[in-house]
Amino acid sequence: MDSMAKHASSRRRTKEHHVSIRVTEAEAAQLERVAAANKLGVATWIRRTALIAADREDPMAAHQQAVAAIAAIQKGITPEQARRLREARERSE
Amino acid sequence: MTVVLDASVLIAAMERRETPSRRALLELMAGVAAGTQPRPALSALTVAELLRGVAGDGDLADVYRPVLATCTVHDVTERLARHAAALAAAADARGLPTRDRPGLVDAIVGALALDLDAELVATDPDFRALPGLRLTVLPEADS
Repeated sequence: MDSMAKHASSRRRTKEHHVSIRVTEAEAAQLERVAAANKLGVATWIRRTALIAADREDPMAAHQQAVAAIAAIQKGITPEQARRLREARERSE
Repeated sequence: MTVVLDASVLIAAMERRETPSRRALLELMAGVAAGTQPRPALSALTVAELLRGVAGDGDLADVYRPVLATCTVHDVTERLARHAAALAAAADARGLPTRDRPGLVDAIVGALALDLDAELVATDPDFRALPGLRLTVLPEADS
């Protein structure tokens, strides 16, 4: 359990990058136009583009993780474990 | 298209029986493995909901670890919290019975789906009360 939480935390640390970029007024206007064309705010559009790019940068990692996930889904959990998870979720509502 | 997964579907999909959720999650992960589908997105609160139930069960943690590792987890920002509050308030204004009103966690998951312009997949029908979602509610079992 602890290792699972640490793993999730580690993923966040390695995946999140906060950067500042200086752009001209013309570039800012262009960013806003592209984001608006996608019906998104500028920050959301940039974040989504970065996520798609990250997946493209390391398709093998995504492939290997997805294959492991498929094996885990096929292994599955017991009805009792599912019941405990549902109860925990209901307590969180 | 990006898919946001709710905890309800991540629980139903993992149970050892043939369900629409199980088929949907297997298909989704097969798409990620093939490079034709982006990683599913999760709210950090969905991770918390699952880990709360996983606590103290090492086998359960082992099963969920690779599934969570394949997903992209999104933090709850103040902007998302404000969006979620507005969504929940809109649902409240519909005057639904209390039991059918989505909770704040559901509203945050819904707001994340809207923020990412993603499809939200769940088994919990309470999400239907949140306006503007591209939502798929999977049945708990085959009819």
